[in-house]
Amino acid sequence: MVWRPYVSFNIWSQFASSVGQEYWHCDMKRGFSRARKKESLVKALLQQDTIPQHIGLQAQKGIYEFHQNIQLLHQLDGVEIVAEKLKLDQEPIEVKQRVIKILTNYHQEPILCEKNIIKLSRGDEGIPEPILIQQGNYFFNLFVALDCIFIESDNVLHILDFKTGTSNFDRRQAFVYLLAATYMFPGQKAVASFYNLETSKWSEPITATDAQLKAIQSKLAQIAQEHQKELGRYKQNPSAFAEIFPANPGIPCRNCQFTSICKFHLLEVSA
Amino acid sequence: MTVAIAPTQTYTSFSEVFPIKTLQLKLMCFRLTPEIDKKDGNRLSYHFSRKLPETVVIWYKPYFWILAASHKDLPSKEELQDALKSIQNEVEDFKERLFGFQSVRQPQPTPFIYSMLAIQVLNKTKFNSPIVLSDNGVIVKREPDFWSEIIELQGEFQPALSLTVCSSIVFRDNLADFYEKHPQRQNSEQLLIGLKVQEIERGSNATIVGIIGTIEEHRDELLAKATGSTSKQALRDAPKDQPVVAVQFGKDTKQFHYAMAALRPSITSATADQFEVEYGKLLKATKILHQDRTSLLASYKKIATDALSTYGIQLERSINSIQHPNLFWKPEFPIEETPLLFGNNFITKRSDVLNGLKKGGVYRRHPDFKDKSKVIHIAALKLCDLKVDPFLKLLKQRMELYGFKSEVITKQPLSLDNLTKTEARAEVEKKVNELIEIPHDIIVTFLPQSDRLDDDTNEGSFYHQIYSLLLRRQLASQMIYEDTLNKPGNYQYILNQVIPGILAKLGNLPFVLAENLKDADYFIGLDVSRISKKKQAGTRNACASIRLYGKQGEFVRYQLEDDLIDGEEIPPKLLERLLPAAELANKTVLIYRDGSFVGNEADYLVDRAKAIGAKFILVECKKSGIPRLYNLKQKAVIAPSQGLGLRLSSREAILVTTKVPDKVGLARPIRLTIHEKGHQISIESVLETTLKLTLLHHGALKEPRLPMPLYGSDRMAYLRLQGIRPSQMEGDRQFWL
Repeated sequence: MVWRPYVSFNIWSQFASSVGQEYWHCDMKRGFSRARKKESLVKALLQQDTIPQHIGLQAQKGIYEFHQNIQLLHQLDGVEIVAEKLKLDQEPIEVKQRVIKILTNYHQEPILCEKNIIKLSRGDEGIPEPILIQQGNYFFNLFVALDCIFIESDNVLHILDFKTGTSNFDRRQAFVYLLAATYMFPGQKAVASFYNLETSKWSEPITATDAQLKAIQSKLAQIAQEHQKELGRYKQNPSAFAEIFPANPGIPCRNCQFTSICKFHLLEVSA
Repeated sequence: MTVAIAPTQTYTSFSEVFPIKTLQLKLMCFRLTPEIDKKDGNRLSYHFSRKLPETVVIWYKPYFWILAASHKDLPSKEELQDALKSIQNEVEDFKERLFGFQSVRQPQPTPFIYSMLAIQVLNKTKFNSPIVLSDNGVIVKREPDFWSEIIELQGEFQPALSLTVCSSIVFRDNLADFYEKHPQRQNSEQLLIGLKVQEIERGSNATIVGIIGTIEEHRDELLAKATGSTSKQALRDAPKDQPVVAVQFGKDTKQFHYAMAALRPSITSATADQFEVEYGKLLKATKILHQDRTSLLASYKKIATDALSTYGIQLERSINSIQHPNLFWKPEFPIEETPLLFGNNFITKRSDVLNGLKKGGVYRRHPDFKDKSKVIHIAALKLCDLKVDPFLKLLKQRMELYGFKSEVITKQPLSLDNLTKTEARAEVEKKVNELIEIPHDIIVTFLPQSDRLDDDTNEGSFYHQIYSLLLRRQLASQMIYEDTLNKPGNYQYILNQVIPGILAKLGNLPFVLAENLKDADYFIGLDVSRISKKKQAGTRNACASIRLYGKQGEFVRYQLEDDLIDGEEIPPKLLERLLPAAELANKTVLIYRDGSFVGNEADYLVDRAKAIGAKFILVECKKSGIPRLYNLKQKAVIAPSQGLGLRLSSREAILVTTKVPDKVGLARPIRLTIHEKGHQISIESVLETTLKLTLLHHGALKEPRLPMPLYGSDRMAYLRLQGIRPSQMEGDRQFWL
């Protein structure tokens, strides 16, 4: 297989935070998780799923289990059976409680029940197949992990992303899905949306015009390029880590997983 | 260029600078012990001047200088002591202090002292200020303005003064009358707090920050302190429930208590509606026709001459090119003929910019747009009821003409009808955030006309709201007001202004100077922005910024540093970060400071230059308190030619950088001063460099008043005051254009 530069929504969000979250942005975080991910200390930190991440994964598995055996959605003890399959008893109490709430919510309101589902992920399938994209003379791989795709009654493709927790939706993620859909299902009309399994809130369907998708593709190409450049610069000169990935100490440190190894952590910052 | 050139034009150039000669002055000097600071010195000298008839007093560290009218004796020590006692009785701050008098024998007055004394004489002189418009109690009048100058003539510094005419918009009645007649006077706090006012006697501007009580409660105290600004009778007649207000002057946090009869409301764009007057109409009336300016200046000069002669001071003819041809300067070639360099090495003159862009394209494309197939993604946000498609089509065509492909990929109309301002702002924020999520390169916003005047309101304008939201994401923005697009005939004109700006905001350099600037390798604009919170006591000084330009006036980068700063002075640590050795070591750098170098700044800079082996030329650039220059053609005043300069000394000059239409008035020059501590070059060189650096504005075809390294620093400061800053503190895109 030919190696290509690559990009994903996750990398995009590490380059630019979601709108309104600018103060949480730190380039060094990207440096740790992308350029230094193979170092033992960083690797260990990256392998520690944060609780929100773990809840997200377990919730996704739970939905998958319900739809593997649709009967569970009609059984009174459906939630307990799925919880057992997920071995929630072995999970920390917070994870267990929140995932059970999610399963209960879904059991009461199984939003995919009557849908014509063409794909539903378990969430732990590993790295998805890349989508090869050509932007001018530049080729890159786009990695997109889709939670769920179903067909609406009017034959429109609906890409659904499950969310947990309280964070807002980032429409950029939906745009990446829609771009991916143009390659995976050419000529098919598509919408994307987010569904929060904890709050049972469904976002409005998100669409994009062809011109907007072209702009998104161009942006992703630019990020893929920048990402490779950064990694290359770091490889050539690891001592320039802090210049290539400048730190933004302060607010972003509050929920950063790298604080234990970041020398800029808690550095006094200007007002 | 090191030598001043006498103008070869057929007309004569004049300035508003009048040298003064002193005859037999009745002058004395004393000092107070313990030594007092400048603020107290100035306040005391003001009170002394008021107390001593036909005598003026100034303070200049560490002395008080007293000048009596020719026919009058100088005050004795006893008289001065009595005056001081009386001042101490009246002015709270001095009440408890003990002062001793010390006479100064054989004082050595400098030209500056003479000049200051002359100004104090004029401060005591009554000038008639004609009213040119009176509308609903608001008047526009022409007033004289004067300040001290020093000018170097035949190698010697001479005292001089600037005398000019300015228009002021004032409320005819005092604040007490305004208040008593106001329909909402019941709600006095709402009506008064935050109101901008002017002290009637001295004309100082202030803001009402509180109501401390009523006349009834404070009448005796106010009567005891009553000065010329409030007549005792007015205080006796004031209704007992009339509020007594606390005001603050400028950024001074100290509060002063005033009877409303001593103040009058200020009229600003934000408050004009409150007085039911049209601000635009008032502004129009402030413009002074050349002929009116000439005759007013002549009459004010006559009054000033008479007043000064009483004190033995002679006001001479203003500095002009007949008597002093070597003091006037102009560029060797007309400034609009300066060659500029575009893309493909295409060179054409400044007056031919659009052709330059058409034939050569931009001088330098930003790395993001190096690939010519790259399309500029535009979003159009429309907040007004206007058809914008034809304009956007032309915008695309024009971009193409200059070598840039573009596409309007998102059009977002938003109707603000039937929404409160708060709701409208929330909607605007939502829409802008949605636009940000799609990768656009620039957002073009079409704003309603009403937004123009909303900048000063508490809720702010959509312009700044959108600007702020986009700036946070490093997104370029272009705002276009509804009224400018009402006539399709204007489209080409607007495009001429807008397109080079859009290209520059995206990081491209439309053009640079074709020839290197002399004197320096780099040109830097240095400024401090101060955050002062509206309606709150005190100020917080905030951020320093620099903009770096190369030898051909090419913009290199901007950098912001936002440490908190005590006072106005930029500390050395900050300067180090702003002036990195890696870039500036062993280079000659001309640093423009917006305003004056404050405190020890110049010393820090000189030390920094020494430490990195560089030479720093330190140039102060001031925008206010500048005498005008003009030309005379057959005895009629005409506009000064762009580039006309007046050398005040080997380190100071004034320069006309703009061309102003006759109906608007006379151009306001800038004042350039080479700081004595920096590396020295000729002032003429600074004039030429500064003028050329005004030619590099990419956001408009008209030259700005300031050289580009400083242009917009007030805008940057203003954005800061609004809490706006770009998310990256360093960058290569001219976002402030």
